Amino acid sequence: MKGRLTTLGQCQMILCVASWIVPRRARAEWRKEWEAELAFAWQISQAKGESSAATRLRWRCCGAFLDAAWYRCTREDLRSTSKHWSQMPTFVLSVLFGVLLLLAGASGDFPRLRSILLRPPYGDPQHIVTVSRTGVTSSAEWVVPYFWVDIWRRHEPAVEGVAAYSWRPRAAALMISGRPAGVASVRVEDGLFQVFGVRPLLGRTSRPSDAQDYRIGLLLSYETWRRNFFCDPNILEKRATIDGQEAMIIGVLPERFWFPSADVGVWRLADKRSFSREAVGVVARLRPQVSERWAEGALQRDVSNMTGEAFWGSSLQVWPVQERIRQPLISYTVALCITLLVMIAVIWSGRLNLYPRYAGAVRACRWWTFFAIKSFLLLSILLAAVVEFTPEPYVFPPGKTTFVLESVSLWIFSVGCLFTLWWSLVDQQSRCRVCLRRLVLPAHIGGSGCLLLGWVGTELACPEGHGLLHVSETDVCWLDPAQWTQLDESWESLFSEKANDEVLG
Amino acid sequence: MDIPVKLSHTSALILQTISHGYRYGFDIMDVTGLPSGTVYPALRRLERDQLIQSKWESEALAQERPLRKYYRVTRLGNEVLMSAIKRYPLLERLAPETKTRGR
Ligand SMILES: [Zn+2]
Repeated sequence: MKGRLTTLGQCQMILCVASWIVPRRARAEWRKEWEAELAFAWQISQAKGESSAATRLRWRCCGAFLDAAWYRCTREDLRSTSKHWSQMPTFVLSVLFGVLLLLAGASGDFPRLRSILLRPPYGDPQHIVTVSRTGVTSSAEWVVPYFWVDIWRRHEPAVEGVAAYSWRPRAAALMISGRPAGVASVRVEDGLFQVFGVRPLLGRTSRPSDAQDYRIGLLLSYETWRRNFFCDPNILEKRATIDGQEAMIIGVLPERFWFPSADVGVWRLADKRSFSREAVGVVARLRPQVSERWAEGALQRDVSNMTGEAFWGSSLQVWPVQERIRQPLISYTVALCITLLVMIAVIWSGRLNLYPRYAGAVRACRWWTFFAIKSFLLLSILLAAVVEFTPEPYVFPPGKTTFVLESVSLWIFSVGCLFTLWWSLVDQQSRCRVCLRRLVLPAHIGGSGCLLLGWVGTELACPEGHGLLHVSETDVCWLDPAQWTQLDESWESLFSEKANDEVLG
Repeated sequence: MDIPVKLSHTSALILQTISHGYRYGFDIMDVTGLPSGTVYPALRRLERDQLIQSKWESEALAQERPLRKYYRVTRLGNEVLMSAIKRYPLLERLAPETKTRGR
């Protein structure tokens, strides 16, 4: 007896599981029909004392899955279900989150963004500075002659270390053990990595003293090592060439180390001779207790004393690297703040009907939380897309103004901010103030002939019947926001799924 | 008259079974030998096409067990069945004995 009871229980459980496939509105009736059939068949089999009935009933109940699937997969049903999904607030959030994940995959976990947002692995970064010329007419004249670097290195007690680099990164064809990689490269002096106080992830940062001279020493960025050479731990022993010349990989730099641009994938060590006739970019490490102002004067004096350079209108500028690294971040934040101010002004003006006046504190909190998360995701997508996929100016040449003027990504971000936030607001306005679903069933009301006497516009309704939104067609004045009308529970039957389906066909 | 709905052999068999008085889902399975995964979706389709109509049986008939849903053939269903019998002559031979009322 107990075994037979279990069979009935098993069958009921199968039906219960299958019923979850059936759309909610038909579920109860569907289950009632199947359970009644099961109960009847069970009674008969017990009366007859059939031994094979249990297996047969179980099989029959398994067929309920196909029946349930038929309910779920009718085309009309699928169409209405997808329509319901796309109205839900979670749908928008999931789509945005999906796009963000897609961008993360495409860019390789946002390397540029992380290099801007996270602290770079420099030792005592507050003492590292760039030295450049200011007050020059062309933005390319910020560089200094290499022999000045030599003067400072030999005579200036205010700096602990100083190193030069060729300021313009260029594309290079790197080949390691037959595997090619196109990366941006920059020539640097050996001492540059000591100035930064950076510890390599693999190998070392300066050429070994017993190394053969004819090979170019290369340091790889973490991203190049990871993306192009799949974190090969034996990369230091591999044969390498750069632009067809023989080279040796002497080290791999830690994650997030970048200089002078986040795009640089390989640093070529170069000696004094190759820089001697060039104008170069300079980084220096100041001694503790030496201020930037003081260093500026000291370095300028050294050059004037040794070369007689008068500096006329221009002067030297000593600028902390940390500040320059944060510069894009500051520019993006300023752009965002300006956009937010514009948006707040729009909301304040009452142009958009956004505040859920009829809702309680919990609903208002839900409403604004949804808006905040949606806007945050939108802005994150925008920021990630522009930072990762637009060409970036080199942060370490000129100053703030040049960055603001030359950064394509900053401009796209600023304009994009305005558009995304505007879309977020408009989307918010066209949502139900209670359940946050997108409003449906747009109905045109009024005739444009009686504009003066009556109201002309479109009326939208919440699919659950929580309320109506009236959007006027022609604004009588600029401050004529859409009107939200809350409907009470007595309206619910009008908006039940059945009624809805009839209207939607 | 042109009959708009064309039935598959299985659907026609089920329709014929209902018209012979086997009006419950499990009864149809017993008579035709078709599995539940075939019979029920076919019933849904027939009902959607308005060839059959479903109703809950009366309390008096059910007595102490849960109410069962039964199906009956509509007028359109009868017309469609007639044309289906012409198309599938084998159907006539498969026809179950007409059920006597009751049970
Ligand atoms: Zn609603």
